Amino acid sequence: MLTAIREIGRRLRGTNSIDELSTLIQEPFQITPKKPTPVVIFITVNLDRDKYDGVQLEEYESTKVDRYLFRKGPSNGPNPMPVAHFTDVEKTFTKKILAWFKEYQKLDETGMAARLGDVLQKNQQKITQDINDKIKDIDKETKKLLTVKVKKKNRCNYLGDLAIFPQLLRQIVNAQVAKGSALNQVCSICGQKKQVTGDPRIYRFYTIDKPGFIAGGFNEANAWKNFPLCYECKLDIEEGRRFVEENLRFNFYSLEYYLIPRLLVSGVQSELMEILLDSQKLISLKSGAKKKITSDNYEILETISREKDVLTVNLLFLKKEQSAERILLLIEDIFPSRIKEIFDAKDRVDALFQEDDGAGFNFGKVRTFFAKSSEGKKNNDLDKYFLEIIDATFLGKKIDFTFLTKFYLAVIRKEFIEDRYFKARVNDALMGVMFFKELGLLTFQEAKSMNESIFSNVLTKYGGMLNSPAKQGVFLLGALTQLLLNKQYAERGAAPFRKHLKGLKMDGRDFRALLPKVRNKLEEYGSFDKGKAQIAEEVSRAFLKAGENWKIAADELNFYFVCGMNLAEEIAGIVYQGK
Amino acid sequence: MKVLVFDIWGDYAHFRKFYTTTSPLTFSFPPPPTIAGVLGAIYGTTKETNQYLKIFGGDECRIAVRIIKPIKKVRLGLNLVDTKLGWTLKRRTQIRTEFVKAPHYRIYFSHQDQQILKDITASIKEHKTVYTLSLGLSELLANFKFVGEFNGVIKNDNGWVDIFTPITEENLIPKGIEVETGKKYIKEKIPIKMTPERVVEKYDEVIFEPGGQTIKARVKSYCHLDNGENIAFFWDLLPSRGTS
Repeated sequence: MLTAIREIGRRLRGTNSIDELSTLIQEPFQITPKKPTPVVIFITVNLDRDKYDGVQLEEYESTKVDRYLFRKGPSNGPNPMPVAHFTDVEKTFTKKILAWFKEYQKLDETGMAARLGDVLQKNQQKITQDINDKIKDIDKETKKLLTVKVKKKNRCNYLGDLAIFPQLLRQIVNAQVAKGSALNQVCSICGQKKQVTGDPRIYRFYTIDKPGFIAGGFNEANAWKNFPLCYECKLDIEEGRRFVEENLRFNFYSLEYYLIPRLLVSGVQSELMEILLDSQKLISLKSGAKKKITSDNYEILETISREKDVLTVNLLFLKKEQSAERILLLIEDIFPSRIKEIFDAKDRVDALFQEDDGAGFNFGKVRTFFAKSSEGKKNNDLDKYFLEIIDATFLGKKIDFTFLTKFYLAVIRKEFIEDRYFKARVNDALMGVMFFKELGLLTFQEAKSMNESIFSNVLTKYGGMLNSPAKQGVFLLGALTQLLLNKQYAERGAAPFRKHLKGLKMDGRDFRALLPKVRNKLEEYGSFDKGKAQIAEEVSRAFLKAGENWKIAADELNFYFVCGMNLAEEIAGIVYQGK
Repeated sequence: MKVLVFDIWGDYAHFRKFYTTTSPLTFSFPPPPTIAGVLGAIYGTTKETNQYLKIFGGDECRIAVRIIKPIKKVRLGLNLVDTKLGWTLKRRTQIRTEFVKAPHYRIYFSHQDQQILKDITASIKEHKTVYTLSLGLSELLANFKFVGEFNGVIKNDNGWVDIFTPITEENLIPKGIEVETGKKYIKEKIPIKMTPERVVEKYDEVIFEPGGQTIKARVKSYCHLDNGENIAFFWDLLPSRGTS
């Protein structure tokens, strides 16, 4: 994965002539239209008179990123430049700005940093108060950046305007990299013998802040042996990461993922790779995206699916937790042909469910069941299962049907009891099952010695899911029950028979006992006509054939039952042909 | 050239990717220094001086690995001792770790020192080891079985051939992979050679089929075994030994 990111960075740095400084400078904020524009708080120092000159506020402008010189540093120490995200005066002014001057002013041979540091130190109290006064009217939601502005010869300069600060930035980062480095060792990414660092600080899923993380002796001085990285590769990876974060980040139902393209064999030409690595072209590619399977409007997987198998993509699901970054899932080397299979499966499922509202199958139909285990939960606690399903989909791993039905039923039951979106959820579940079936992730054994019946078409339509008499019987019973509920609704505006369905927690015995109850109730309503009798007859036949011991999980049985309920109209269409 | 072939398998395996610590990912198969460790455990080399890397990681020996069971990766939470507060057990931290589930590999091993080869062959045949075998972590115990001892012929014909083992990019002739339908191709960067000081001297990209199927490729050199298998060792054979 890192090699792929480094390849991206290297190409960008080569083709766009991105210099070292541009790679080192980071964007402090991600600007989105929904969020308020961040504010930059400047502590102004008049260098002509070595005097503190007040605090100024300016709106943040991303075009000035080269002048702000922001680069994130350690959470418990100053950044490489006296520019920091503002949290409160104590934390930011003292621990980030003043601390920077204390630690690094000696590196500046011109003495300018020392003079600035002196002014800030002497006016510490006044500055603290001025900052508090200035920000008291700013909304707490608004993000802020704290830095220093230097007045010199009646001109206001940002740090980046003064030659010394970019120079210091390079020097400080270089010194950090050199700390704990080793000379003339093999870089793990480019394979060349160079000076390598042991604490590259690129992605925070690699840290050496605990001794146990240093394999082979827990000795920090030997950390470079674990992950030796040269300075050039570090810059390439940083540039690659920046590009991927800005341009190839997508949303997968509240989970963020990065799409990292890579050529399978180096030296192969790929037009799509060129487009993916060109921000301008990528924008038009994203806006032209037609079909999608995730919640992201700009998802481009379908476009990739049309590419030849010379290119692969990695999907990196990363979660940022304060200063740490956790890899939730990394799916490596997905071929365009696999993505095409996924879209083809989606097309087949969409065709099968013609009555769908037009959106067709997408992973939202799966996410519905794999987000929260109960509505009271603050955060999504079923992410790991959802990620397993994404993993299985892209890599073609089998999914356990019992596992799926367990989660499907949990949501369907709730909707049934609360009488809300029951039909829609059953439809979502069925679409999901068919999608996985089409992809070969779910396999159902061929049905043995099934009787030909008028319902055969419907029973086989759903991909062999109903492959035993018991499943078929329960499915048809579901349809019959729904017809009864419809009748009750029509007659009374309510369906009290629902209470006989035990909150959809029925077992084999319950289903067998349900048939006569449904039949009796239909007779009471005078609605047990020839069509319903045909369905009931088929259910009885199936139950008799299935015998006593069904050996099917209750969740699964209830799933077939609700599928039958959902498709009652289709079953009714068969028995009431022409009516 | 005599090539010893044996299988190694277990419930789970974890061969940590070197660029991950807080979210450990695993390589799909054991890299050569790990296989050297396995051979060292069978043979009984001392751990203190990392002698195993010298005997089984140097130019005197050749190693290749074949994926027998398709690679299935799972993620499980491991409760580790939180060492932020020092080494005494105060609290734990859960780290989500990636494992290979039901790993099963076939190791191909050849050594210039015939006595070493003979000793290891005898140990494997008798199902004996000096130290316990594991697959990456000490908790992930491994079982092993002798498969056979075969004659291998090194070939440098540069023609298309079905290779049973992962192929290093260095060994691959440019555009030397034929992408076949029904197969997946994965590229991973792994450490190839490690010195007894635990310094990796060589990393390389390896291309492999995670389902354990062969890869149709053109390689600079491969070894044809008399059981019909073509295997690619992780490092090139010394020119002086050429074809034998």
